[in-house]
Amino acid sequence: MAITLIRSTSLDSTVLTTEEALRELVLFRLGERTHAIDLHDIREIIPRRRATRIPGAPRDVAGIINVRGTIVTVIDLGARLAGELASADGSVILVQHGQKLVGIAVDEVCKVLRLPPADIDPVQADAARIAGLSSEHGGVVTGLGHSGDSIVIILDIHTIITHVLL
Amino acid sequence: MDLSRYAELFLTESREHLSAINHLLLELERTPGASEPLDAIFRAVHTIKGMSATMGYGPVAELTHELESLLDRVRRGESRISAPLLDVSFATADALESAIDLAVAGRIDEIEVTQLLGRLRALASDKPARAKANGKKRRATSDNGEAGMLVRVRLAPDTQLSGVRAYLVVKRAETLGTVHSLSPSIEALQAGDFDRKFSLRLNTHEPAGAVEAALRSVGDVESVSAMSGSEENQTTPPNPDLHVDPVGEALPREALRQQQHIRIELRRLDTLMNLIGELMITRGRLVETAAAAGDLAVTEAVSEASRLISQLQDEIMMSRMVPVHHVFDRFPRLVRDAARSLGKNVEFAMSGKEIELDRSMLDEIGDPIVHLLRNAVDHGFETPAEREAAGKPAFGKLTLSAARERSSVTVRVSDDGRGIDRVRVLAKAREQGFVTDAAKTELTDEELIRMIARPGFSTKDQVTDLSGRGVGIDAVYSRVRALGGSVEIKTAAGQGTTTILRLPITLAIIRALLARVHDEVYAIPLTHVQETVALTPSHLKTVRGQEVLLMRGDVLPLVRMRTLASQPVAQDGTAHVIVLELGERRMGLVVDELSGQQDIVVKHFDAVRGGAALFSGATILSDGSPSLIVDVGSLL
Amino acid sequence: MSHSVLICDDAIFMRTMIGDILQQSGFDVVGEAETGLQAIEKYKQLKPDLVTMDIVMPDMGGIDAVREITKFDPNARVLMCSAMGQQALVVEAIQAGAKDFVVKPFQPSRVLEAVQRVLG
Repeated sequence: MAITLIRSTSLDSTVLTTEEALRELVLFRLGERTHAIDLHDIREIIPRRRATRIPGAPRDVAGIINVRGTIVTVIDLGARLAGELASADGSVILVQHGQKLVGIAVDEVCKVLRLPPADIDPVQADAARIAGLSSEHGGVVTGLGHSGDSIVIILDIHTIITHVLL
Repeated sequence: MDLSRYAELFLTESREHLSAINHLLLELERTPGASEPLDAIFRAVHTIKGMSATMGYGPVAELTHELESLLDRVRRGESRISAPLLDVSFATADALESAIDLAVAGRIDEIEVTQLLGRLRALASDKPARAKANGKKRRATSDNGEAGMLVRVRLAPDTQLSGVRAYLVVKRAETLGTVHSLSPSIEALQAGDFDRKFSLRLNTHEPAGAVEAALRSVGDVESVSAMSGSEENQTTPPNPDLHVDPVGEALPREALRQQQHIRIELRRLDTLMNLIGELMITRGRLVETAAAAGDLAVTEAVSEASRLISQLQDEIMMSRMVPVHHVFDRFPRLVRDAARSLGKNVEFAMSGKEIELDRSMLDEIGDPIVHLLRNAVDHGFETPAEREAAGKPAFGKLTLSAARERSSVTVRVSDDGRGIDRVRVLAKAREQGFVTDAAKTELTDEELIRMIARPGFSTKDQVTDLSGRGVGIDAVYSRVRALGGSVEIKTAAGQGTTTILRLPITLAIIRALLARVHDEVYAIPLTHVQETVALTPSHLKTVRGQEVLLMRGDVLPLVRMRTLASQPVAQDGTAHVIVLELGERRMGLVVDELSGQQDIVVKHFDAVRGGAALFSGATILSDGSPSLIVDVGSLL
Repeated sequence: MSHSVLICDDAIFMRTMIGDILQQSGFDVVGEAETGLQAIEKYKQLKPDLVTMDIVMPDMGGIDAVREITKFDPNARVLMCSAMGQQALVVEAIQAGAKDFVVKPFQPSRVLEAVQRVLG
């Protein structure tokens, strides 16, 4: 069953400064790490389903799925960033990428988080290292968010998609 | 009166006329003395003028009016067909096209025609006096001051064609008696050369009142006064305008009895197509579910519904078919312009314009064909001097033809120009390090296209001028492939090049063979399937380490789908061969099992980097899972 | 009983528009013709009370068609549909037997007036 994100999802209470300044992020897990992408890029989150393999495609492409009549290519973000396939019982985040709808397979979608800019460190030279990513993925981290004690790796999902799709 | 509902009709019809005008101008250019094209252009221009004036599209009406005047001079022998005249006519046709689009889009203010109007008028400026009314010469209008009823007529200020109206009044008067002393003269009246007032004398037995009533009934007459003898009088008070109210709003509108076509918004047709696609997928599921349930009544009902859905699909497909001339009609002009600007002599012919394609496909094939035609004119044909030196006819022959072949349409672009020397291209490719395989003796079409499309590739010796030949060709190639079609090139040095595009009739729904390979199902477009056979060892042979297929004495290349799909090699189980054909080439594709034929809805999927370019699209199977459609063109 | 009308014009646009105007006023459009020859043929076949006739049409123009129609039926009631600047042609059409004319662009009221006049 599809879980549609609703903007009024109960939130972590964070110190609120001004309404507009808050950045809305969807947090998800890949292995041990927590990543985030911007909520406004996301159309829907659906449970992981069996994809049709595309022969010859790299390992980080899970294949294609049917979402109500539309063929959606699914990128395995686990394989892409962490080198380990995302869980087959995880979720697929449907991202609106220009005209395209692209699926992003992750281990688990956690919650929606609103962060004031003060809690987001802009990307630094060693962001990729801190995020535990190999340097080739450095460009896809746009910042590190601080939520309580934990660090959230904020990704530029569009750049990742551009790397994978033609 | 609400004109907006006529706008669409106006647009469609004007475009048809413009297309005709372009064709006819080309014809006129070829045979400047012919009167038929001239008359036909005149009619078409005239029709657009009438329509645009009615729609209130002033600039369009003005342009057509000026062009019409210019053409009329030619018809009357006052001007000759000349290059400047043709050029300005072509320019006007172009300007009309954009002006009409703007006008219909409600952007009439953006239409800019001043300069063109100036050109048109300048050409017509050495104009002698307006042609005389071309009717028979009227009889002498007057004898000397013979007494009679003096009739004075004043026409309404908004009278249209006042000369004709005056003439009608005179004619009406003639039914009452003898008319003389007409002032101004009948010629001046007919030419509209008077200020709404005229007078005549009428010898009649009718009383003045009857004469006045009769003449007033001609219409657009503001006042009439008839006086017996030499009696002079003031004119009678103006006649209140006999205004007949249009009763349109009050009466129910009857359906047009004659109408056999209705116009449908494109969007609706597309929606219908999508819906029928979804319905077909659902039908698949329904058929499977019914079969599993094993209830005879249900199965019968489902099979009946299934049959109806197929019929519905056919009807919807039919309603979307459009003849290719909608795209082809602009090509003669395009070829002419290209040839002129490049200094080539080209004779262009088209055939098969009536062949129909689904409009989804029609929208897509225009650009590739434009590329091919331009290419032929630019690079295919020699210069006039070269042609003469080669002993070829002065005019290069360029043909575009469309033909129907089973479930596909073939579009051929053929020229009798330089052609491409494959051997030389191969030698050059080897020399420049693009080909390393020493055993290679011939380039395939695809290799040839790829080769000549390479930016750095050129054969500098002048035997075959390939520079630029590939530009666009690779674009055509990838475009057509993306549409599920294929490109074939036949070429011989010195004799010309023929490019053949094979296209499915529709982009949306195709008939496909479903084939199971290990645990996956692939769809193979039936257009390219020649036959299928169960694979037996007697079909197989190995030649130089390569598996080949033996089919009734023919040796065909063989490919295993499992290999293509990087799946484990099959254990002994059964296998089937699908014989694929494309043009004259054939090959065998080995799959595990055939799962039947089905109409499938073609869907686009986003290609991934590194993914095999083996698939042209995807479809959704009856269980809801996607399946990839094999691009036969890439295999062959 | 409503009057029957035959509409002759090579443009569907024009035929539709004239047809709408006339039908809205209770006329019975019994036929349409796209060319002069068709107009003659349909006139003979339908014998309409009124004919609206475009001047410029393919294969045979409106004026010749009027001539032929009048030859066949001297009482034929033909209304010419002309454009601005066709003065001379309209005169010729009237000499050929047309009863009246209207000028494009059409105003429904003018068309109806002319029709009434022609039908007398």
